[in-house]
Amino acid sequence: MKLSGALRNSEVLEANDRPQVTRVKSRVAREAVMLVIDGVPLQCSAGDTVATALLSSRRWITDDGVRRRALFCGIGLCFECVETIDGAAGGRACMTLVRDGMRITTRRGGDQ
Amino acid sequence: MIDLVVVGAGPAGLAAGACAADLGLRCIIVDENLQAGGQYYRQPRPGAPLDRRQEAGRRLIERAAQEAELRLGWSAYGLDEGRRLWIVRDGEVERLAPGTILLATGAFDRPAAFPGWTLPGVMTAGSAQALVKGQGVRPGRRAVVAGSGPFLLVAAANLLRAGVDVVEVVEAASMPRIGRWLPRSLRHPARYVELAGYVVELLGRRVPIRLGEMVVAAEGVDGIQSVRISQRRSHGGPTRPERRVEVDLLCVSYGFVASTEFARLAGCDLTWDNGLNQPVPRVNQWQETTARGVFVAGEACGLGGAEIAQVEGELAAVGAARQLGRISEQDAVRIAAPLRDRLRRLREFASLLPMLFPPPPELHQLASAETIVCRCENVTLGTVLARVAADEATTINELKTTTRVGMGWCQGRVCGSLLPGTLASRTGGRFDGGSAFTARNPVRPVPAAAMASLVVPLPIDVTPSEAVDREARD
Repeated sequence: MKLSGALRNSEVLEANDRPQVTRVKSRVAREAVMLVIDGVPLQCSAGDTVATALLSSRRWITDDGVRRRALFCGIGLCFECVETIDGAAGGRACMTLVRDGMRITTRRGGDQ
Repeated sequence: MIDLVVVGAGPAGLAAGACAADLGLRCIIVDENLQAGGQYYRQPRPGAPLDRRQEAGRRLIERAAQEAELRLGWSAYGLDEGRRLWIVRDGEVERLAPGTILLATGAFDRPAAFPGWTLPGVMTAGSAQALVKGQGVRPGRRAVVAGSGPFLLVAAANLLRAGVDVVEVVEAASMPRIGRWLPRSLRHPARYVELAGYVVELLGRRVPIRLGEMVVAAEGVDGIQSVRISQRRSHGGPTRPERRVEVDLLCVSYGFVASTEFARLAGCDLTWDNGLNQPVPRVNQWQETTARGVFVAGEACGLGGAEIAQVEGELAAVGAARQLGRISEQDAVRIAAPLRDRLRRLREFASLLPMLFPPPPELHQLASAETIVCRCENVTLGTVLARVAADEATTINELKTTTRVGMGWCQGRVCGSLLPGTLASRTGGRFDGGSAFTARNPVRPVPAAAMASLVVPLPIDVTPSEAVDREARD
């Protein structure tokens, strides 16, 4: 898929975007949690980080309209995955656990 | 009154906390992660089964929680001149004024800039490890693990166990070098058996470990689709042609970078560490820095590994108790003696690692002019090279204002740990390869309100408005 300009929300779950992460089977039952990413609902599991939730549905976390980015350091130091989480800017997707009803605005994603 | 505040609940910080009450110390451990353990003892999701390392970590966490107060989800973001530590969680700020501070801030994977390293699917080996062990997910389907050092083997084995198809491990160190230093490592059978175990596991699962080669580029449009792997120029033996391997995951690790911001803020003297290839705080036999009452333990003061980190953490706690008069000099010396014996033996093996896995000089040659070097501000190598060529900058601080490198969210942690070496190498030494960004409060991005409460004293006779007035008069 070619990137031309800003992405639209409807493109978020496009089939072309295979998810980056897949879940290892576990016997532990996980409660379903609903997030809202740039206005689009996304189901994930309790205990997920926001990064896991996003990357289990697509390959990227943020998009500045030119480049897509995902996880780099994954441990809270590179701030590549920062988003606005429940209104607070600078939330690190890799360090934040999901909560039911959490609203996430990805960088630039919410500007459209 | 708090006696000891520990920054970081990894092996070093937990070990310090786990003996705090025994030493008569009132101790608080602060960590911005929601679970204790650090990278080495990273715990799984609640309820998920633990592996052996995680079980050892769990026991250490429980001991630390009994002897000290664990404050998880709190980010330490400021250290002021009165040795007070500022912490924040969800916008709530607190100021801790302990008798002593232990910085057990650990290290992260040393980043390397090469074409395609910003693509989704390219991540540090530590990131992949955190996803597998902490989140119970596979970070990709088909992976190459590349870089240098024993951590590649650990990361590759954990990916395999999670069900990721690890196509190959690409290790930059060459066989002749490893062959030269391996016999000395045999004197440390425990470490050797552990590493040999990983090699056997990988080879048994038919994962080739390529020596003397490097990933020179990642390719793809929306995410990584392939990597190019090339033999190092310095490699002896027959030349193999460059290869392309299709992957959706590339895990990279060229050693580690210690987190030293707080030590630098405290004004500690630094000393060069061969294992990390960077200056780290210099510590005495009690793990105390040249700033009185500020101790450092673990990777934050030199490459060593979790076992060394834990012993250093205990030693630091003893040092803190001694300084605060909670234990007598005699008792301190008695408790410290066996710890120091263990450290000596452990450090002997650790000192071999930089010989086995020196940073490959070719690393600095991989980025092209179009390669982004500051990921936060999308600054390319070409942009910064032009400034250096125009004699506008010889240090990384001088590049900041003209190119915006290091001005983004990560506060220069990523570009600051790769650019100085690369620019020195690419400009024939015209750039200071040892230069670093100045450490400043806040050490983490914080809301403006949290920053405002961290008062930075101004010179008494010149307030900003007066200074402006005087300028206007002149």
